[in-house]
Amino acid sequence: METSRPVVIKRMPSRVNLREAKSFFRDVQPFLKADRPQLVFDMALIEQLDSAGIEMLLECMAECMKRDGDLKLASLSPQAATVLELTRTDRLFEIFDTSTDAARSFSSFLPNAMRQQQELAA
Amino acid sequence: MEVTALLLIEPERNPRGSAANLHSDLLSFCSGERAMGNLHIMGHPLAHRLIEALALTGVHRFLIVSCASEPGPPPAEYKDGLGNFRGVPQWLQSNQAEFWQTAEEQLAIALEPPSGAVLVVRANAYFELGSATALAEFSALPFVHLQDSAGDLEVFWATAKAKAQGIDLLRAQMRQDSAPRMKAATYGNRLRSAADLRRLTADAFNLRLAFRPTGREIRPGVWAGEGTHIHRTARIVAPAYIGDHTKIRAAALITRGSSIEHHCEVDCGTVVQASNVLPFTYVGAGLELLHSVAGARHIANAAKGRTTEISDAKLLNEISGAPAVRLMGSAGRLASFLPTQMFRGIVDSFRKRLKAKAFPTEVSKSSMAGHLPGTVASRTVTVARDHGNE
Repeated sequence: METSRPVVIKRMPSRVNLREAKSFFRDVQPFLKADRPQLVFDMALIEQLDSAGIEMLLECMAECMKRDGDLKLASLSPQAATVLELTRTDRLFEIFDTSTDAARSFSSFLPNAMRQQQELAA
Repeated sequence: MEVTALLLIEPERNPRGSAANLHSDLLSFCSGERAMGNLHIMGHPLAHRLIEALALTGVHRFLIVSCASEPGPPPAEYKDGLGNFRGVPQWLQSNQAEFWQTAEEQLAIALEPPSGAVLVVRANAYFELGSATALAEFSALPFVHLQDSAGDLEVFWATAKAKAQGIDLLRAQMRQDSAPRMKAATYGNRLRSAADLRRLTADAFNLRLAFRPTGREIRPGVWAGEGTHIHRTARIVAPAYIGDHTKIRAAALITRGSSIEHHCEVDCGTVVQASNVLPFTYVGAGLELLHSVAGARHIANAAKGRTTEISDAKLLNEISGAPAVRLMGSAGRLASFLPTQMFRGIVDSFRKRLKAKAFPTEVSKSSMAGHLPGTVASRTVTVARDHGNE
């Protein structure tokens, strides 16, 4: 069923340079290869984000899109927000204040009937 | 009455600031000695702009006391072309320890008879006194601290009668004084944040200030300094200022009152909107700089009040202030251009071959045309598609 697919929330490291980006990409690769992956990257800890990090984010996004999934960003630190704005990549991602909001947003597109069913079950 | 202005250029006391108070963050953008007086505004340092403004109000002589670790000649900007001031300001340098003592001595010398009065200005904010008769309003007073609508400015007026008070105030590093206040400034900008710097730039473009951008007005509202390189596909939308020896690369867009100072480079496709790019700054390709002050690997966002250090040289970098280093860099890039292009060509051709091999079988299967009698094999058709419409 639609709602049974997990939402994976991954916290990004404080420095996302070339080496860290590669290592992070390796970490998230299993989730990206899943069917219709639903990912949230928590960027609260980021102090340094460079072009390699941006490239990695775009690659993750492309992998998700290929498999009909989605990647959302949450809790952007000021540094991350500045670099995303500077590189014009902020408009490519859905950005949320908290990772909980981002995770919830994956089910928000459900039809009302299904949502009611969920609420009743809860 | 002969009036002398004593301008004090001193580095900031606190080396680091917070996002709320960007005063010292702006200082990290200053070239040379890190003092607000050296912060460039549309082609000239702040102290230079103050001289231009004060010359309009009837100040006859300018004396600059600058704090520097190593003594050196006055910057070229102060040698000539100071707006309405036709003379050359006297330039003195002092180290940090003796800075205020030197200022005291200079004030004492300036107030010796027959000199009339001294306007002591700490060059860390921009202000204007208005018309040529502005000095007459407080010339009768022996000692007065000037204000604008927002409060005290670090500016005071002293005559020979109040010499001791003036010296005492300098001894206290202009921190505390009980001098009478007078609201004399018609314009004041304390330059405490990136937003203040943006406001000053916007006011200059809107012709609200005494100074104009340096250089030639190449189109209505667009000023360019000497030796600028603006690519023919780059767009400069008025009002905008491009400083001396600045390069604007292909498809870049400079718009909404942006000011790019001297020896900067804005790379291909970058949008600079309502922003200040400070001297010797490289702004990378394909970026969008909005409502910000950029320089010295920092971006201060005026709208959001936050400063961020950018460590990636591809995004934002410092350009060397030494001409020899810049020349060597340019020569290196020129020499490596052809080999780099050749290497890229070879790598790309390998990549294309690999991609062609990695095609899924469904895609590389021959089309219907391939089964028709007299047609070539499907592989030939696939290769032909690499060249687009050929």
